[in-house]
Amino acid sequence: MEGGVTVEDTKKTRKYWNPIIETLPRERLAEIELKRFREVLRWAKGNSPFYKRKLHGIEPEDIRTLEDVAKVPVTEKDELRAAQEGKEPYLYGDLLAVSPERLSVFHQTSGTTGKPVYIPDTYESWQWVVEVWCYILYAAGFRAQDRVFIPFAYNVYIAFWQGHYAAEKLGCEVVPGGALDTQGRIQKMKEVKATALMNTPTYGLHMAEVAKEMGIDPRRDLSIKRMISSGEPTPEPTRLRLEELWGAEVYDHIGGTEPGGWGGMCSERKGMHVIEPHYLFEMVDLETMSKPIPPGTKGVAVVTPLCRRCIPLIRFNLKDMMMVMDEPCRCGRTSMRVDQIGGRVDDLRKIRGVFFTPAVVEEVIRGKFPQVVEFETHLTQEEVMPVLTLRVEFDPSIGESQWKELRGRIREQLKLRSNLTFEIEVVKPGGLPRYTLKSSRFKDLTKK
Amino acid sequence: MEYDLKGMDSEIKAIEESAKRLKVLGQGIETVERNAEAILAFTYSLRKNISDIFE
Repeated sequence: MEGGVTVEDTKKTRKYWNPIIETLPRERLAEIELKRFREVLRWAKGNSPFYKRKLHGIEPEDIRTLEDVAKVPVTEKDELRAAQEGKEPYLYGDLLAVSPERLSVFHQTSGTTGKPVYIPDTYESWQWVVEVWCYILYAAGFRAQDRVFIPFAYNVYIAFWQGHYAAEKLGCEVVPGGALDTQGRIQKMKEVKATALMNTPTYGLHMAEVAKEMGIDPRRDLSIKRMISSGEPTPEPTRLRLEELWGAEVYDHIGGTEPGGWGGMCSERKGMHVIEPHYLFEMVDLETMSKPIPPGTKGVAVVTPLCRRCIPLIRFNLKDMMMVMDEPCRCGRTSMRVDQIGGRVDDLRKIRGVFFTPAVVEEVIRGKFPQVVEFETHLTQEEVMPVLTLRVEFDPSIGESQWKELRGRIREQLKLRSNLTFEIEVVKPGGLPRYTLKSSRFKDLTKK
Repeated sequence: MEYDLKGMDSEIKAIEESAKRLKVLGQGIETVERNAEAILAFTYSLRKNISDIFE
């Protein structure tokens, strides 16, 4: 095994969900991924009408090396929508690769970027999705001894369902906290002495704020030792802020409704491990969205779930900007590590000639201004000039006498980080919306 | 001591074969069919986690 990890070590420490796969030499991982990519290609062409059309002329035998994978066209989310819209069988249309009576699980995307995409699973494919999440939770230190609190009604969204079933499979005791308000959830966590939490980063911050109002200090009065973030990206400053507020280890993970959860942080908490060889991960360049790029370069993530036969996805464009980390991880896992940087391609826009992504604002605010409890960015148009306004809500303990100085510092830091000038507007406490699942802190008001 | 991948692989295949036979034997009995199907879903994950690595 690589990295000096012996079988005896892994048996003793129980550090890995699957010590065999997680410490395989990279060459072996590549062999398995190539073999599985051919298999999923063959399955998709043979069983999904969408891929039968899309992959016409491409044969699995043509993919002899991982470099050959780039010959296969990338799948875009819009194509998934078009393949479902008005097509039979109802809801899933041309994407489905199994007979409808085999389906047992329904989920859908949130619809943030358009009409939702419906993603079903068979019992088999769902168990595989859950299994991958077991890798994620185990790497984040979740163990059978944990009592896991999930403060959400999971609804039709996949994230917490995966987390719930995976935690169960790990042997954890899962406490679903859906039908409660935030205060009720905090009380319940206290009552049951929950040791672990699955949360969106936004709601994690909000829960800490509400707990404080209730006279509860999450660090002192609750028993949460670890938290896994889901539902939206967790920029490093936000993750660190959560760790500070909760006195817990906070782990990010990455995934989506279409591909499932495909990466997560290990105990090092430096980047996220791709769950290989269950997924094939690639990076393509920002300009053409097709050319492969080397480690250490910013690009767009493309992922292929390699074992989900129900609704195959080949080279799915995640539109997330990322970078592959080159150096081996100290945790001993040999899988590729990625760093989520700069948000989503969809959010990238040019303002006054400068590329801007709202993720920058979150990094600055969460990283340097703990006095800010909530914020929102507005993009407006004044005559021909686009104007960026950051609306901030300070902690009630911050007196008005401090506002002017803070506004100045925020403006300065944002200018340094984004090369853009922001108007800063202070909103009274409670004046900005609080989010639970996906936050929406950027409003483009130039769109009619 | 190394992990006995070959041994695990052969047990996974045996469970799979057994579940398939059970499904046939229990045809028409929902509880047998569905539970056998559930076992096959779990052996699929085991194959992807163990057998594929061994092969």
